[in-house]
Amino acid sequence: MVLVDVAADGQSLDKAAGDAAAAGEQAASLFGSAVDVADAFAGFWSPRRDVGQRIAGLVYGKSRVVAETAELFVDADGQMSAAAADFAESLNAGDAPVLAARGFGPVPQP
Amino acid sequence: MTTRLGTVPELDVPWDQLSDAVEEMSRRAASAGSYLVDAGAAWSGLKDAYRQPDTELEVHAALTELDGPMQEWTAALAAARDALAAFVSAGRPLQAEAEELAAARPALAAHLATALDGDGAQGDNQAERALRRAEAFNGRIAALRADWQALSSETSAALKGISGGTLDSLPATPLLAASASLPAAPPWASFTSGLNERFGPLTPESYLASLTGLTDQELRDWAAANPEGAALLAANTLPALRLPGSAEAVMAQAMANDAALTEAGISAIRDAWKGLAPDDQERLLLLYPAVFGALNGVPFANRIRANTLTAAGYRETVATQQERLGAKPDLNDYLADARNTHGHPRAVYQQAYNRYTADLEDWQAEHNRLATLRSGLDFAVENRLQVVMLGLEGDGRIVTMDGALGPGTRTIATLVPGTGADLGQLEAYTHRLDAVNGEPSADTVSFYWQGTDLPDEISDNITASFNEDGGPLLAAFDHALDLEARSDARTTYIGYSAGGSLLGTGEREGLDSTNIVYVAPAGTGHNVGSPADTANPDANRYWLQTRDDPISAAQLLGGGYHGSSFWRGGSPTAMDPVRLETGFLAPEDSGSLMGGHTDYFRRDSTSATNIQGIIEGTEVSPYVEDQIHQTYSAYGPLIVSPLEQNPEDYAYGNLETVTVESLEK
Repeated sequence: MVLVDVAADGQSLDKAAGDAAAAGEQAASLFGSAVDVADAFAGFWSPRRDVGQRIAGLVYGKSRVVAETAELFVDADGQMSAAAADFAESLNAGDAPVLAARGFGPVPQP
Repeated sequence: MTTRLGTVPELDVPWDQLSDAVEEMSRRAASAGSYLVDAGAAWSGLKDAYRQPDTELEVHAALTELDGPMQEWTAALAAARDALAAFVSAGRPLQAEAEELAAARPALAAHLATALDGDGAQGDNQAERALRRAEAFNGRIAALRADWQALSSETSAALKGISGGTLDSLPATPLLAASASLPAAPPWASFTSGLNERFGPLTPESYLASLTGLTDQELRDWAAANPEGAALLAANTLPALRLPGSAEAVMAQAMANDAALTEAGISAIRDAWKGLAPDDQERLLLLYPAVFGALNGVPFANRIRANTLTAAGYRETVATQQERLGAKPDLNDYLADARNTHGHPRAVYQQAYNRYTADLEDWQAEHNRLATLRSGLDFAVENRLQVVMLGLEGDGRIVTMDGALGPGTRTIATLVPGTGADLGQLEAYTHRLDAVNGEPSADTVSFYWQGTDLPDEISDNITASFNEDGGPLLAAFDHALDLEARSDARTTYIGYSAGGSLLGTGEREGLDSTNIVYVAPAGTGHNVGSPADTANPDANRYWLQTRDDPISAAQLLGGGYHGSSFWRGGSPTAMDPVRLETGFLAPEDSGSLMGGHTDYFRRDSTSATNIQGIIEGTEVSPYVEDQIHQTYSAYGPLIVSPLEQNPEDYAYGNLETVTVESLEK
C-alpha cells in the first residue's frame, strides 16, 4: 500500500526535521560571549528553522489529498478501476469544485 | 613612565555543546532529506495505483517539487555547520589563551606595582623588567583581541554568505495543497487508520515489503505511524498450514511440545533459528513479532527488534479495547428497561438492579485491567524500552533489558518483582532497577523479569500457584540467557517479596546464577528448604530485610506455599545467606533508618548500595547484629539493635564495609 509506506517515511521525516530544528534552536543559545556570531547565526537560522517541518507537513497534506481524492475513484483493493474512471468522467462534468477544493488545479471540462 | 595592564577580553563560549548542537542540526537535516527521498520512492508507486486522466499527472509529480527546497535546506545547514566547525576549532585555543591571561593578570599586576614602588638602582632594574613583562602581556591581549575580532567577522560573514534553503524556496502554490490548514505535527497515525476505513483492511503480508530492511529506529517510527498495522502484526500467529521446509515449518517443529520451557528445547530452538537464512529470520520477526519476540532461544537482539512492533501493536489493541468498553453502566438505563418489562414491579426492579451491579463490577474490573496494561505499554513505547517478552494475559507480562548484551558483557543483574507487579508497575520497577544496576552498557546489562502473573495483593499469595506457574518460566529465561552470556559473566538474581519465592522455585527448576539476593522474600521457593533443593547449590546468597518488615509474617506462615513445608516456614535463613544491612534511606541522615517493605531500592540508600555492591562485586555493609542482654525479668532476655539505638554511630559512612570477595564461596 503506497500511502502506508509514505506515512512511515513521512513520520521519520517529520521527526528528523523536528530534531534538526530543536538542535538549531539550541545552537542559537550557545554562542556565549560571541555576540556578533550569535547575531549572524540568528539571521541565518530564522528563515530556515521551519523549512524541514514545513516540507514534512506538505508531504502529509499531499498524502491526505491523494487519499481523499482516490477514495472517489478507487475500489477496495486500492487499484483504479475502469468503473471508477468512468465515474470520474461524470464527476468532472459537474463537480470540478470537488477536486479544486482538494487542491487540484483547474479541471478541464469534457 | 607608567604602564597599565590591559583588560583581558572575556571569551565564554561552551564550545563542546555548540559543536554537538550544530553537528546534530546538520545530521538530522540530512536524515530528513533522505527520508524525503524514501517517501518520493514510495510515492512513485502511485504511478501504478493512481490512474485518473485529469489528475494523475499532478498526483504523480506532487512530491518532486519538494526535492529542490529540501536539498537547498540541507546544503545550507551543512554550510553553517562547516562555518561553525571552523569557528569552534579556531575559537577554542583563543579562549584558552584568554583564560591563561586572566589567570596570570593578578600576580603580574601585583608584581608591577611592587617593582614600580622600589628605590635605587636595583629598584630601577626590577621596574624595567616588570615593565617589559607588562608590555609583553599587553601585546598578547592585543593579539588576542585582533584574532577574536577577525574570527568573529570571518564566521559572521560566512554565515551571512549562505544562500538558499529558506522558506521562500518552498513552492508558493504547492501541488495538491490541502484546502484546510495543515496541523503542526502531521498526525500520520490517524491518517493510516483512515486508509483502513477507506480502502479495506490490510493483511500482515501486505505490510512486509514496507518493513523489510528498516533500521530499528525506522521500525519504531513505522509503528508510530501505523499503529493498526503494528496491532495486526502483533496478533499474527504461525499459520496452521505450513509449507514443508518453510521457515515457519522449521520453527514450528522446533517449538513443538513447549520446547521453549526446557534447556534442551531452547537449545534446539536456537539451532533451528541459526539455521534459517537471514532473510527468513527477518521475515519471521516482522510477520510474527509477538511469537518470536517472546521465544526463548531466539537471540535477545532479534527479540527486541520484533517487540518494537509488538509493544506498539499491543498498545493499539488495548486502546481499541478501551474504546470498545464504553462508558460506565448507568443505573437509569437498567431501570428504564425494567419499566418496560412485564412482571411483579418489585421483582423486576430488583433483577434490574442485580444486573446493573454485576455489570458494573465487570466493567470496573475490565476498565482497571485495561488501564493497567495501557500505562505499562505507554511507558515501554514512549521510553523505548528494550522488550524481550510481552504478553497481555491477565494483568500483563513483560521482560525488559537495559544495556547491550554481547560477548563483552561481564555483569548481568535480573530483578524479579514482588506482589502487585503488573504492567502498570513497569515504570516504578524500572526505576527501582535503575537504582541498583549502575550505568547500563555493553559491559553491564540488567533485566526486569515480570514474565508471569504475580499476586495482586499479599493476601492473594496464600497459594503455591504463582510459584509453580512462574518458576519454570523464570528458569527457561535463564537457560536462554545462558546461551548468550559468556560463561564467566557475573550474574545476580534479585528476588523481591513474592519474587523471592518465585526465584527460589526457578532455582529448583534449573536456574543458576553467581549470586542470589533475597530482598524481603515471601519465602525461599516452593519445596525449597536448602541450597541442595536447587540446581544452584554453589550460589553466593545474600539477604536484605528491615527489622520491622511485615513480610516476616509471610515467611513464618506461608511456608507451605513459599518454602519447604508448612512446619519449617519460608525464612531465608534456611538458605544460609549473608545478611546485609538495610541501614538508612539517606546514609547522611541518621534519622532516616529504613523500615517497612517498600524502600529497598531507594537510590543511594544503604540497601540499594549493598545490592549494587553484590551485582558489581565491590563492597557491602554486613547486617548490624542485634545485641542480647540477659535480664532476670519474666520477659526473658532483652534484644536491642545497636543501629536503632544509636543510629548516629552508623550514619555518615560509619557502617562497617567488607569486600564482596571476602564473602564469596
